[in-house]
Amino acid sequence: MFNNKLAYLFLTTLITLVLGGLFIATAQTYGGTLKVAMTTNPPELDPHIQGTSDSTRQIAVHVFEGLFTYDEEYNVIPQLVEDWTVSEDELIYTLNLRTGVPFHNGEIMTSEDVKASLERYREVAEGGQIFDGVISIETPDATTVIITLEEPIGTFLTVLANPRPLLAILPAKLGDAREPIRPPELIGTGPYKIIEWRGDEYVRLGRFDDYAPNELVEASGLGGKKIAYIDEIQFIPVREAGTRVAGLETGDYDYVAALPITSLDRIEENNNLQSYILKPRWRIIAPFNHKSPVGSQLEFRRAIQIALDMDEILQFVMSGYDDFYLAHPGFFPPEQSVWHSDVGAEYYNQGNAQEAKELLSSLGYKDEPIKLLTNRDYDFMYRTALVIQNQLQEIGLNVELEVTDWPGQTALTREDDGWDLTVTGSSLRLDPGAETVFGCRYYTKYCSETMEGFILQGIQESNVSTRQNIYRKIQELAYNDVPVIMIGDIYELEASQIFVQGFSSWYTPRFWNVWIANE
Amino acid sequence: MSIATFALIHAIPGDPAAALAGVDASPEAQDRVRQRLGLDEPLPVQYLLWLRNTLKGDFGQSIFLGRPVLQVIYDRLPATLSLAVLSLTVSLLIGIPAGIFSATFAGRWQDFSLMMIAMLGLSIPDFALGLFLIFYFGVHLGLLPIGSYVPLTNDIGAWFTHLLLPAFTLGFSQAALIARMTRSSMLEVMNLDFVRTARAKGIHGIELLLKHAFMAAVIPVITVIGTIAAVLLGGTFIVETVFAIPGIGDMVVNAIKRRDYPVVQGGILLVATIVILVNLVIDILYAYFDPRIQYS
Repeated sequence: MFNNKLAYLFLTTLITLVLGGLFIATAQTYGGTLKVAMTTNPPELDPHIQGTSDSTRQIAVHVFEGLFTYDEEYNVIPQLVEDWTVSEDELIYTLNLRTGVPFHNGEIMTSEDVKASLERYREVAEGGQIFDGVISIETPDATTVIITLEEPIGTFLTVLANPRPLLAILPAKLGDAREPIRPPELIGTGPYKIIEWRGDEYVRLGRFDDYAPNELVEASGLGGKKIAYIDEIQFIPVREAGTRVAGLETGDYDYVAALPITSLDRIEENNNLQSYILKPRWRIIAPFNHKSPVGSQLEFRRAIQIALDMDEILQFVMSGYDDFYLAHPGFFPPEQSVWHSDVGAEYYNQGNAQEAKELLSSLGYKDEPIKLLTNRDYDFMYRTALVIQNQLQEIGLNVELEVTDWPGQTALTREDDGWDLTVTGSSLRLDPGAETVFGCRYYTKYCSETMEGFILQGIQESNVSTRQNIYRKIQELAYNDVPVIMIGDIYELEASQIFVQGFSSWYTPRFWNVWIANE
Repeated sequence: MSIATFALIHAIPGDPAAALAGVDASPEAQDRVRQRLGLDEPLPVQYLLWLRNTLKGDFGQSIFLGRPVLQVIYDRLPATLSLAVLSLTVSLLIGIPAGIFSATFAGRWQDFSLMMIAMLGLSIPDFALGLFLIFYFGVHLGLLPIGSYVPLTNDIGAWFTHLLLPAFTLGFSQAALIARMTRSSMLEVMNLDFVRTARAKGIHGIELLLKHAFMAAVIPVITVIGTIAAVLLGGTFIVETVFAIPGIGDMVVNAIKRRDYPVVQGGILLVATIVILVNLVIDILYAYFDPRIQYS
C-alpha cells in the first residue's frame, strides 16, 4: 500500500513536472524583436496603391485590416464587419461595423472612414474599377454602411476581402490622397503600426497596444482574433539568397523567406532551425503570344502542349526535391479544393513527342526560329524555359532562348513581335475571380468571346456550385484553345529559428499569434 | 556623361512599372503605375526635365525608395566610403609589404609563392571570395558577422567587425595588383645607380629598402592607387550586394534591376565625381613624393 502510494505520488509529480515543462516551453509569451529577412523592399507602404507587390502586402497585412478577409480554407470571413445582410436582388449590402475599433492614432473607426477608403480604392487601386458598379455608399450612422450596386456582383464580398491590393480601411481624412500615403500619416487598425520606414534598409513595426482583436472569429488565414505577442518586427530586405541562408544560420535573422531549395538539408540538420513549406506558392505557366506566327496557330500551340513533360520540368526546377512541386492540370491548386479541377488532364503532362511531331508535320513547319522569352531574376522561370527549349528541340522545333531580366521580359511581352512563348509565375489568387491570364487584356492577346463571357459570369455569379462549374468550363476552354500552358505548382522553402513559435506558412507570412519562446 | 548614363539605362528594355506593380500584376496595373510616374512622356522630354532639376541640385525622387535621391545617397554614402577606405587600407597593408618582400627574394621560392597567391587574388571573382568568406568565417567558425552595416558613430567595434569580411573581399584582389606593381617597380629601382651608390656607402637591409628604394619605387604604385579607387568603387556594387550592405553600390545595382532611373543617374553621377576627385588628389600626391614634379 505504502509502495503504491509512493508510486502514485511519484507518478503524479512526474506528470505535473512534464506537463508544466511543456507548458512553459510552449506558452505564449509577450516581448522580443523579430528580425525578418525578405527578398526585396516595399517600394511604397500604401496598401491601396502599391498593394499588388508582395513586399508591400507582406507588411500591409500586419498594419491594416479590411472589412472582410480570407480564412485558411479560402473562405471569406468578416474582419472589421460584425454582421451583414444582402438584399434578395443582391443589390444592397448592409454592413454593420464592429464597434470601438481604434486606428493607430487612437481615433475610433466609423462608417465615414469606410466610405472614404472604398472611394479612394476605386480611384487608385488596381481592379478598383469594380466599384464603378456601385451606385451609392451611404452611412446612416457611425457603424452602418449601405452599399448599393447597379447590377448584382455575385463575388462582391471577395472584392471587399481582396488582399491584393488590400482594401484597407484608412482614416477618412486620407481619402483624398491620390499619391502614395507614407508614414507617419499612414495608419490602419491592425495589430502592428509602422514605427520607421527606411527605404530599402528596413521597415520597423511595433505592437499597437490598443488593438481591438476580432473576438467573434477564430484566428485563421488573414483574419480572426489576432494577438500581437512580439514587441517589434523588423522587415529587412536581403536580396542575395545565399546571404539569407547564412544570416539564418548565424542567428542574424529569425525568419527568412524564399530560401533556395538546395539549403533544405543544411537547415534540417541544424537543431536551432525549423523549416516550412509555403504551399502553394507559384503556379508556373507558359503563355503564348497570339499575335506571333507560332502562337497564332492553334495546332502549333497544341503540339507544344502535348510535347511537354511537366514532371521532368518541375523536377529540374526544384532540383529533385519532390515535396516541393506538384504536376497537376488544374489552373487552381488542389489546396483550393472548391476551385481545383482535373478537367483537361488528357492534354496535360503527356510528353508525347510522337503525336507532337505528327501535328507539326501537317503544319509545314520549316525550321523557323521560335523565340522563348525568359529572365534570370526568377530562377524558376529560367530553369523552366531551359527544359522547355530542350523538350521542344527534341520534336524538331528550332527554339531560341531570349534571356533578359524581369523588367525586360514584361516590356518585351507587351509587344506583338519578337517573342512566341514565355514562362511566368503567378502567386495564389484567393478567389478565382481575380484570375487574369485568360482575359483579352492579358499580354497573350488571346481574345475569345466565349472565354470573356465565362470570366464575366464567374464574377457576377454568387452561387458557389454554379461558379465551380464556370471555372471548370474556363479550364476546359483553356485546354482546348491553349492561350497558356499549365506547367505545374512549385512551393517555397521558408525557415525560422526554433524559438519562433506559433508560425505557420500560408499565402503570406503572418507574425500575429507568433511569439518568441524563452530560451 | 549624364547623357550616356541616361541613354544606356533607357536602352535596356523594361521600365519601373514592371517591378513596381509586382510579378504577376496585370498590364493595366502597370499602365496605372507608368502614368503615375510620368513615364509616358517622350524620352528627350524626360531627360531635359531631369537635367534641369539636377542643375538646380534636385536629383529627383526615387521610384522604389519613396525618398529624394539625394537623401538616399546621403544616407548610403558613409557605408560605401567606409567600405572603400577599409578595402584600400587592406590592399595597401597586404600589397606593399608583399611586393617589397617579393622583390627582395626575387626569383626564389618565396617570390614565386607570393606571386602565385597574387595571381589567385586577381583571378577570384569578388562574389565567390565573398561567399566563401561568409560561409567559412561567418557560418562555419562563427567568428565574424556576415554583413549588414553598423554606422561608425553607433559602435566603432561593430562597424569594424561588420566591414572586415567585405573589406577583405574587395581589398584582396587589389592587394594582389599592388603587390605585383610594387614588386616590379622595386626591382627596377634596385638596379638603378643611386641604389648601388647607397649600397657602396654601406646602407643595407631595411633602411636601404624602405628609405631609398621604396621611396623611389612608390610613384608608379600611387598612380595605380588612383585606378584602384575607381575599381574599388566599382567593386562595391558586387560586394555590397553579397554582404547586404546598404551602400551606393547596392543602391545602384538594385536601381538598375528595377529601372529606378533617377537613382541610377544620381548614383553614377556621384561615383564619377568621386573618381575624378580621387585622381585629383593623386596628382597632388605625386608632387609630394617626387619633388621633381611641379604644377605651375
